Amino acid sequence: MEFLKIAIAGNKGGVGKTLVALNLFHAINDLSERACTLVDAHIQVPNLYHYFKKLPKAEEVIVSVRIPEIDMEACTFCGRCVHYCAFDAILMIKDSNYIKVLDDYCTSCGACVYACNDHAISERTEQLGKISVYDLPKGRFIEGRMFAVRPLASPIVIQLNELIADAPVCIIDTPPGNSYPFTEAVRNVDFTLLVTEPGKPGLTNLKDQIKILRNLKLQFAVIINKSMQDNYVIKEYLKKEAVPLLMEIPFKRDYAGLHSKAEILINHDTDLKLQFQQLFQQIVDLKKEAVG
Amino acid sequence: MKQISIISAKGGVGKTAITAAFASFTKSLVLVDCDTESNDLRLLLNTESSKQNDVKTNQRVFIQEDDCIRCGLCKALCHFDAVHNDFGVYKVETVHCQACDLCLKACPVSAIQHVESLANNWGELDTQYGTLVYAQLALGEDLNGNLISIVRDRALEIAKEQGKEIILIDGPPAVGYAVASSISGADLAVAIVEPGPSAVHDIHKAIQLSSRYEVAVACLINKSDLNPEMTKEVKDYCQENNIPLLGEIPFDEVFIQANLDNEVLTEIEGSEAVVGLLANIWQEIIKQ
Repeated sequence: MEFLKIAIAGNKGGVGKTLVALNLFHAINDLSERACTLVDAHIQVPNLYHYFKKLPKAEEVIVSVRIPEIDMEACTFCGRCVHYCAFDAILMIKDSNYIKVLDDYCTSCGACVYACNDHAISERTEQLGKISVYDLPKGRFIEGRMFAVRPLASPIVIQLNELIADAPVCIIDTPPGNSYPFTEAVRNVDFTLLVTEPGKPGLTNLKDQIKILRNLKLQFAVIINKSMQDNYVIKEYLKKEAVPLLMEIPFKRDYAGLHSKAEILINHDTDLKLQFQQLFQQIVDLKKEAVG
Repeated sequence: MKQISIISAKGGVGKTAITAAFASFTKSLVLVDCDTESNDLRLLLNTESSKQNDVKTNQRVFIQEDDCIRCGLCKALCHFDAVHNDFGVYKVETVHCQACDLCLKACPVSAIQHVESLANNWGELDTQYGTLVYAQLALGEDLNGNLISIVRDRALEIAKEQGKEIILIDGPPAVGYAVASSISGADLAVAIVEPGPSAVHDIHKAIQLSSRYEVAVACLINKSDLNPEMTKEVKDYCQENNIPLLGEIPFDEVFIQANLDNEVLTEIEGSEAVVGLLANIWQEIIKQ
């Protein structure tokens, strides 16, 4: 059995990441003895759970961050913590013996605690989010969710990655964009499937993510969703860059309608189901090729 | 002067296409693209890049292998799991580094140094509808600092200079820090929603964020006929929560066509119906 973690990514919102993640997950689960794990790593707005008609009770893990607190009695106002903080999250007015942690800027890096020589800084834990694990009749669904608007997502994604470390086949739905939440979500994957729309915005956004994945030395391929024409411009670009194009999903009102009603497309379109199963096989083959 | 932000919890609901169409209805505005990871408004408006202003980000670090004494303190201290022991050699994975500098300051032999910093950037462009100010993150960067405040302040300056009455802001998807910065201080947040399974949650999140930042919010439903039951649920939700409903737009492939042709909706053949609806909605927004 292959060990394969596949991230589904797309820079622009609404290109069809969730649609591809869901259908690929169900297609693999229908294949055979494989039990696949579906992961929602779009922790700001996790949406995948809406696409399950019935979910069993989840096992939940709370993810916390450590926020520093300064003991005014012990503090000597030496300013070491202010100097150590790279995020200007500690406000000190020495003359009036005033010092305060600005929670909204704090990234929980721990530098101030390390810096303090007077044991004046302790850390309280604050709930950052939670991870829910659902055991499905076949396979698993794991969701990461952030509670509040905070600067950092990494503790949740790091724990998500730990949870799926020994899962044989995983499909990971990632947040849109090309910034830190995205790079965190793909950090331990074996293969990334980039979903794009035809047209110039689609291509421009695709190029950005390709650049990042190349920097990270990750293997990837592309799917075009909402395909209406021959996709000439994207295909030429992919050919030039030697990036495999694995699938084109046509733009159909039916698909949009079914997906918006939380229906799984492959349950209504056997040809599409076959294509998703072939897609998985192609990824397995590409991975094997790369490993040599 | 009025500042209007277009937002949505879910991506792909039509924010940028609708923002561009709104812009085409008025001659007196300044546009702001706050989607710092996917700057699509300038692509759609076909404007060439102007002079860019770089905003340096915090510097990441790397470990000088020759100086490192393999004590492992950096790895132990890192809260971001960014230091790895690669067969006895300690290495910083730059993309996971949050540039907190703790390891650099703590290293007993000063073996850790800064790498050259990335640069976020922002700029302004002339479009057929007015000046567009945009902000763009360096690849892999997180939104730290005040990139969005910089472009919002700049848009205000331009609006005053040029005597424009409206600042129209295209926000990023989701409900994170970037969205908060895109709506704070605005007169109205227009939350666009499509009737997918998460629609009610999506509108709820947008409203939650708007109220946290004390910004008035109104709802616009796109692709409304894809799932009429859910559209009704969204409408009911808005009514219960006293959120004005600006209107609804049925699913129309002119949105995809506009993307393909890289044009504003108003320039696409067969877009009259959608454009008519949007024009009415724009009048509603101006009245609010």
